Amino acid sequence: MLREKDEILETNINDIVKKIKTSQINATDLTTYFIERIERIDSKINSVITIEKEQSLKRAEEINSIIKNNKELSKFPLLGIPIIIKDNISTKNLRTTAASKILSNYTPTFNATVITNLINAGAIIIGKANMDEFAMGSSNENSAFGPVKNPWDFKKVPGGSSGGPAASVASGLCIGSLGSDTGGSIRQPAALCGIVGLKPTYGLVSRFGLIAFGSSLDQIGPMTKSVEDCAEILEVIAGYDKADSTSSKSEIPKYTKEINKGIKGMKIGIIENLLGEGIEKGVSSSVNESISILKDLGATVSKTTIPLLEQAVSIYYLIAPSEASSNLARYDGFKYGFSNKSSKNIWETMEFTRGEGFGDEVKRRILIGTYALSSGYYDAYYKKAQQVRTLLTESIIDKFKEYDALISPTSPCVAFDLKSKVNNPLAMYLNDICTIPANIAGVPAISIPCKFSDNLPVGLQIMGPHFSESKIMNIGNSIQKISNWHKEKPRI
Amino acid sequence: MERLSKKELQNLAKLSHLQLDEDESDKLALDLSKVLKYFSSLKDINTDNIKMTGHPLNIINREREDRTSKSMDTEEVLRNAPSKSKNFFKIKKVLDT
Repeated sequence: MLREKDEILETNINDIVKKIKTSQINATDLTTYFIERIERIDSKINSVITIEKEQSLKRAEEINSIIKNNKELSKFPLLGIPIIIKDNISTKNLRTTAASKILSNYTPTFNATVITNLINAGAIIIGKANMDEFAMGSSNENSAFGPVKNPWDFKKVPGGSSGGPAASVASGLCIGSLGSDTGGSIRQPAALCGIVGLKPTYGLVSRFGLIAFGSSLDQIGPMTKSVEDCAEILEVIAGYDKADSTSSKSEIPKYTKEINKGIKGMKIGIIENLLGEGIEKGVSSSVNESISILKDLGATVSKTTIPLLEQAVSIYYLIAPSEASSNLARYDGFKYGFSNKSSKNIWETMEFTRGEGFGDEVKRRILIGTYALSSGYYDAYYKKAQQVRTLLTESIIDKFKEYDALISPTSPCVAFDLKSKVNNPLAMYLNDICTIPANIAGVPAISIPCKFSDNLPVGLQIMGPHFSESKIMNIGNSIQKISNWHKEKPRI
Repeated sequence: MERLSKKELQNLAKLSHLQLDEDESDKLALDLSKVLKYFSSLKDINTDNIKMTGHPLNIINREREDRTSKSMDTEEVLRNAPSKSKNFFKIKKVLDT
């Protein structure tokens, strides 16, 4: 019985939904199948913080009755699809911890807009995924709930901060997931775990209900096995939301159609300053293999250099911690979450609660941000970083006058050993060089699996101008139509 | 950039309302010094007359209509509170007597 269902892991969302709607697959059976997989497999990788067993089975029953009563089924593009959500996205009545001790007992009283959208489309939330605390990290080792292991090699990191979503999708513990990306937190773990991850244009997907980290950089996006599935989920979560004041009113294309247009005649630039020094040989040769596919498919590919790109890490690690130091000021031990009981006055409550409740990396970033924003340093650090951000954004946007899209590796290296970088924060930060530029400029970027290096996945990043999700997914999908890297599965 | 002194770090911790123990302070002072040194490359870039980025898409303030609507239920808001009294968050004393 289960063996038969393993075919589900090879099937795309569209086909599964068709089978659910025609009662060839029963929603309860499907949910049970994935919950059992989590219960059986997840102890090896630690990708899930909370399993939502009871409610998701109840929900599956609801879906069965929707099908029975044949209620306008076209309104439910994700009917019965089991999804795991990164634990910094608020889910009503389902614990949401941001993988922090300070929120370890917090249960939201409302749903994030993306969750409402998923539920309205018929999806089933079966659990909450592990991550780096407050989405700060590139290895998923900064979690109060323990590190996530890479499903391809348990001694390696899955990447971060959405390491839980990436590892759970790669291991077939769900059909798709939502992550969040502030400096690469969707794309880098997607690359290291061999799945697809998309960071949408800033403002395309509502941030309402996303636990804030760097508000001018944060975006929620899909993490899936294929570009096709990514388009299915993006179509459901994208769109204007009056609850998010930075939400865009741009029209949402029919992504699932747009990604099949082919790429003949497209002009694609290879970012030369992200393919030389500092990039592992195995990674660059995998990326080169994808480049030859793009040429075979009729695209024109040439090298280009983005001025000021080398400043991206400095800009980001000043702006994101500055915004974080302000956003995380709300955790005071009074309104929700963990609270120190031994304090004598409110000042001690705040200091003790935050000192005990936050992990090392979160403290480090709060302090960096506080430093950059404090009087005497504001001009030299925060203001300077926001000015250079303007210049780097211009230099990225300028490239799109010449190119339809820009490609590079997603990560300079394949999955690295657990604990190998935890004591060197700067080395960990430099790891984000390929992904940060898209957040700085607010443009969309997707990571798709390309050729493996030393039996570990490598990610190809495709970045496009604002609101070009159709185009970059079309490029990714064109590659996936004639390659099989995204179909490789880890043996666990 | 000089190495961040312990005193400077303690001041930052105070501004951030973070209690840090001795070992933590030493380690964080060193980490921060290294990172801040790395950032110093920004200084060499000419940014005369360059505006700061406010929003990556240059969206101007969006205002909503001035109309009342239902807000969250008090009971729900207080559901996660570590300590409460009637309709209020209960906190420790503000002034020492």
